[in-house]
Amino acid sequence: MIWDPMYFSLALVPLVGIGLLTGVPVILMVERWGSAWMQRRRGPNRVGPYGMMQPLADALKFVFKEENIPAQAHKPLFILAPVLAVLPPILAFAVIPLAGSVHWNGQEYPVQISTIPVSLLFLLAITSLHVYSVLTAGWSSNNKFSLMGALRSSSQMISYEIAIGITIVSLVLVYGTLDLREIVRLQEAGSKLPLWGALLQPICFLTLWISSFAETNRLPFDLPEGESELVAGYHTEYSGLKFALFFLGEYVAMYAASAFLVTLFMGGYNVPFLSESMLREIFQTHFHWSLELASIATVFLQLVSFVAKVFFFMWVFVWVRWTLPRFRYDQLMDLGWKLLLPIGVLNVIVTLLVTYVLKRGGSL
Amino acid sequence: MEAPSILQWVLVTLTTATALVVVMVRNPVVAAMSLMATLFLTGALYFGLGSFFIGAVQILIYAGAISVLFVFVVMLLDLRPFPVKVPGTGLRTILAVVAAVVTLLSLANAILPGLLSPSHPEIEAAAAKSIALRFLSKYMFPFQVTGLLLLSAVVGVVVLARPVKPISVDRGDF
Repeated sequence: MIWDPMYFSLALVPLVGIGLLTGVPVILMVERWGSAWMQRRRGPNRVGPYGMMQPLADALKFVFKEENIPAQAHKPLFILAPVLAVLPPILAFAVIPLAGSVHWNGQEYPVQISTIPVSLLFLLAITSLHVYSVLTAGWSSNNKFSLMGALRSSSQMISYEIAIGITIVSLVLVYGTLDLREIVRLQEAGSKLPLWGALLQPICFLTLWISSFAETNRLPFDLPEGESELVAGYHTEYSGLKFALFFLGEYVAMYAASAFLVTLFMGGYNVPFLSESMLREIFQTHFHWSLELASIATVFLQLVSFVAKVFFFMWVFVWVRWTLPRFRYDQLMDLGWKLLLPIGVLNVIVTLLVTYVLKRGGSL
Repeated sequence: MEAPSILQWVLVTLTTATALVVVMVRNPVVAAMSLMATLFLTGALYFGLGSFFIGAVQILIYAGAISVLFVFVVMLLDLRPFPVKVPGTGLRTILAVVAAVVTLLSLANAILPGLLSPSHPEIEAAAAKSIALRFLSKYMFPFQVTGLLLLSAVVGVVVLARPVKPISVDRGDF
């Protein structure tokens, strides 16, 4: 009974959680060093070697700060909002395939917390709940700037979600499945479509990439917290650990968006040009390892590949933030509704025609 | 059919509790938020029953899209909590009781046969493909009519929300 795959999934839950919580300070340091480098500043260099203890110092400061709840705020919702900011992006990692599967005692253990057949839909559903944290934070603070930020943010997120929902149809048409694990396997070397999704559906890829900036409220789409107009937007009234949770939620959401893009468009956990069975064979024939050991080594390599790909997207998030200025609100809406949405619809129509013709010709 | 697990009991209790909050709380924003929670937990219940597609769609459409609009509109309008109104014993109360009883009976009629008879047909795992095939073949007409119904509802809302007298905007003072 202890060898049931369910227990393996349960053991993965704390591991993924710890991995995410370790990843946040790492990207914080990358962002600080990166921004300093781009702006020809020195960047953090006081706390610890190369300023590496800076995230820890920040966290300690958050803990010791006074937690202020405005007198006229709606207290239960005010407290609920930061929790809602962190939950959906962490939940999103429940369905993301992190690596191939471990073989042990003739059993196969997929390195993915939950292998449900409609994981793509689940991912979209869970990320669509991210709006609530912003909305409740803005409304419950009883502050005009907060409410303005919340309303801006929710309309922005809903608009870009429509673009995402339409565009993703073309990708699903190509792969013919809603299972993320299956999608990753189709991008493997030596499979039916040994191509990354980014090459199969470049327009879909670009649209989703742009929309992911809007969904995570990052520059150049960070109007909800545009400090030159709205003080700090929806989290104006938050301080201490509650603000830290919003901060954490933003960075975990960036990780979730990066993992989403990697899984759909960059071959997921696959090591480029090497499929899972090829890697395992190399370990078995050249190193004379057992199947168990070989599968563990393969999974390790795939995890490294996955993390490296995720960090590429994370770096682009940082890069764009310190390069581009903020959009005006009408420009943001125009981009979503008048450019990305029509392009997405057109892409779906073209993909439909092409897949129909290919299927009739029998070459797909 | 296996017995419901502890997790399912917890989910059912939470769903009912949040649904009660929706109708009992006076603050419209709290009501809208707990409506979202109810819809989300219903999706979780579907997950517990093994129909992942329905569950994901439930969360995506109802919890993720429709109730966002509810919360959005309620916050935008900045509604005050409704004034306390003691219900009288007029015609309205009688009609409400009748409606409640009829709803309860029809629900019982739908649910009880499945609970009483142990040999109900095997529930087909509602995969995306079989649902899509049915929507586009056998249930094509109801599917399209529902779309038309929603469209007419939208038009109706626009008609109702329009002010009766056009507001005259005096632009001469600028």
